[in-house]
Amino acid sequence: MPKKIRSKVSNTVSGTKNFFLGIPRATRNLYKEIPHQVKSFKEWIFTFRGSLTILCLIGTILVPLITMDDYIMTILISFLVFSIFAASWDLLAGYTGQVSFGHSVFFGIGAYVAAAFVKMAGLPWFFSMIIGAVAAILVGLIIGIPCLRLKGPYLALGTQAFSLILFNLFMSGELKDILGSTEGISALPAMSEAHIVTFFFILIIMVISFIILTIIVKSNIGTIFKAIRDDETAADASGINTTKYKLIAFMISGFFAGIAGGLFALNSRAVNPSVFLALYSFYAIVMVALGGIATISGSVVGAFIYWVILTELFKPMGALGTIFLYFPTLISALILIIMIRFADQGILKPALEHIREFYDFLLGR
Amino acid sequence: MIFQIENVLIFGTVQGSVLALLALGFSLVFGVGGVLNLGHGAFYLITCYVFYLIWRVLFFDLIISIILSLIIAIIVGGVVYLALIKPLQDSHIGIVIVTFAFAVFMQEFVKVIAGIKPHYISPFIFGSVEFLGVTFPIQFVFVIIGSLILVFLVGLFISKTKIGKSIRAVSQDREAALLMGINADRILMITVMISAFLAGMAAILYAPTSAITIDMGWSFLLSAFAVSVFGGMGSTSGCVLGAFIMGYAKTFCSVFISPTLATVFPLLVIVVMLLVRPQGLLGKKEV
Amino acid sequence: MLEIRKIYHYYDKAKALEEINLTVEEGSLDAVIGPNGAGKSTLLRVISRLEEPDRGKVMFMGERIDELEAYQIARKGIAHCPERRKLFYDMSVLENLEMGAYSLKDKKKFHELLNFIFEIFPRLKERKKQRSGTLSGGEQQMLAIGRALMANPKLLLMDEPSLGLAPKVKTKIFEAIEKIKHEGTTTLLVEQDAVLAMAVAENIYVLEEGKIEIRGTKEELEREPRIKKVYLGI
Repeated sequence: MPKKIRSKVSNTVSGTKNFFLGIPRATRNLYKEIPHQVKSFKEWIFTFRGSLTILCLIGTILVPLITMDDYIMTILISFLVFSIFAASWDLLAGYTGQVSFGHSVFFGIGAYVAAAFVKMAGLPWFFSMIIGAVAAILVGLIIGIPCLRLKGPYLALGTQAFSLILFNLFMSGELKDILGSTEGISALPAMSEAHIVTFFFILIIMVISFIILTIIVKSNIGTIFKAIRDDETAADASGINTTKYKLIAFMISGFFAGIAGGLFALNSRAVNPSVFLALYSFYAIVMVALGGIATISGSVVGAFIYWVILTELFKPMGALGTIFLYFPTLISALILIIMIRFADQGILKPALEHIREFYDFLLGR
Repeated sequence: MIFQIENVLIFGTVQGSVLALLALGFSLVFGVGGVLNLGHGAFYLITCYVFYLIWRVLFFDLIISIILSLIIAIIVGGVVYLALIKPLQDSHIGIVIVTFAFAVFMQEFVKVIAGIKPHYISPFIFGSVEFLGVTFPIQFVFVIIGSLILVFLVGLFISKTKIGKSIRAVSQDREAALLMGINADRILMITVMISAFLAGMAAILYAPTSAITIDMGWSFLLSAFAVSVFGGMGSTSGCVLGAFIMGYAKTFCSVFISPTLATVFPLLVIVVMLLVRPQGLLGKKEV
Repeated sequence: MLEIRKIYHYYDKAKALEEINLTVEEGSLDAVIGPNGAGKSTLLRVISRLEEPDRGKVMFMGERIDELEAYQIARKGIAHCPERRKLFYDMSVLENLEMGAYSLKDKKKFHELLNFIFEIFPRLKERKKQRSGTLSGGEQQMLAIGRALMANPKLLLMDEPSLGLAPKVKTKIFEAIEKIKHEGTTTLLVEQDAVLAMAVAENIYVLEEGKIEIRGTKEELEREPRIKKVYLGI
């Protein structure tokens, strides 16, 4: 018999810390960060990562410009919006280790507040979006403070409880006058007259969000987040105020999820209580898992796979029967299970490794 | 006013009975394996639709439909254990994510098969009963009696039988249980299957009283979680007590304050209990 | 009966056991002594497979057992009376004993063993129905030993039976261990109290920092000057 039989007890006793999301930590370090420090933007462009990023960015700019196709833009917009949402979950769960299943709360609050300010106060969309994101920060605080005591699975279910509370409140008939009940808020003004302009607004916001998020995770705060994720007790013992930093993580994550929610509502020009559903939290998780946990950039890949490849793959079949429209979620749930079981690296990192080898080969390194 | 108190009494008992069945399984699984199974709501969901399919669409006999649905629920429980829980036993958060994915998968799967429209399972027997001046469908009687019998049987099972004692042993001290020669993995599998069976029973008894929809799994999952947290994770007696308190409180809210508050109530309980008394009413295990 | 060959065990990277070789003959009572944190408990945990050894072999009655799971080893007839007792605290004394006999099929043997245990520990008989969590420390230790014996083990592993007990109770426990030895149960005892351990054991192993430093029969060790000084305080 092979030595495969694991001793579960020994793992719970001595090896718990070596596991994150069910996968031994050792394998997580297989793909290391780029070793050399990049000094300037100019230098960064010529690194592997830099050139790949710029290439993708140019592609995203050019395709709508050349085709001017509304449909393509719609697809790309949902891809951009949800990549911000996924990245915000990744910051909280992947980097800080606070696995939240109620991320739809931030998304929904951002969406509702932004929509309300545009519709009722007539504010420009950008300010409404920021107000929505700030509201999401406040909610992040409200949720973060009670959830600080919770660990692991309890945090997951506790935050999910919050999302269901909000769903029920916004659905409720009694609060119809304030929260709009099932209809939510609709008939918002368009973000701009031309679809392409909206697209570029969202693209710019998405790029800025990713730059900020990347800077955060690369900074000292990011290091502290990772320390908390890897061993909270040790982080606490080494003098880090874990409470403060966990709250900061909740707030940053809430802010960006709120931006994503705001953009989602403003772009679709309507919002209803379903944004609070567990399904939206699931979107974030599945996109991050697809792209790779704790790699902010992976969220883009995950979002692309979900919103462009999977969704569009089944859309043509929608004509055959509406059931095919449910397939992306169905299949991504399966994929998520398989990913957590077998490959917590996600798709991005292993793929990048291969592409990078090829790139190095091209440059003759 | 007095009339309404009686309403609370009867509808609260019904709610409590359903919650007891749901929470008992959820809590047992937690006690034995330290596992939060987010697929628990999905067990309820699947059984509802399978029961609907077998009884209302394929027109099998009622008893046969019930038995078949329960068998399927138990099989699903076993599959969830073998495919999702067992391989990830080292990582509780991994289990939470895969069982969450399982719940989403099942919801979407049911959506594909049955569509998003609500369906109606008719009661076993039509008609209504009057008791304490309140008129209510006969199905409620089935719910209350069925649940009480099951809770009693489960209590008997875990205190008297060998497997039941092993369940208690593993949940009290897994290592010591292993040293006694108890196959703790097999016990956890049996417990997950029991929890699926109980959730299935809850579905069969309670679903005929209202419409079945694809997204109901979540609220049942969170209700089960709320009751388990309230009564103390892993404590069976706390769980049953918690279920009935919750049932009455929910109905009370719904009758006297507002129906919205009633739906939110269990969720608020989760939040408050986790903050104030994480070990629950009668629980010993720290969260 | 039990043969341990070149066992290595690490906790993360910290070494807990290093090249342990140890043999327990049928019918004997051997003891492993050593200071706190020397790896004594880890050794027993490796034998009953609560910990997976990183290298090495464990043979029991000519069969390799280090690849089995903990419950399978228990069913092979190795009873482990764990450190800090690890009773089922919500169960009664009797239920704990019943759990001990989990893999015992023979009803007659069950009653025989129960009578034997009540004979060496009369206190347990008095408190048959009491919840084990409410017992005193000494009674809990008696129950833990009794529970292990209920499996009718071929080999009994005992981990620190005297831990945290008053001297008087300690003596009682060791009197019982003596009786168990007379019944012919092969025993491997891990004990910090060297004086007590050497009073009952035949072969003694001294474990220090994960290594067996000294080994020998009781007589041999009593002559060893270092043992005298460090462990026996003479």
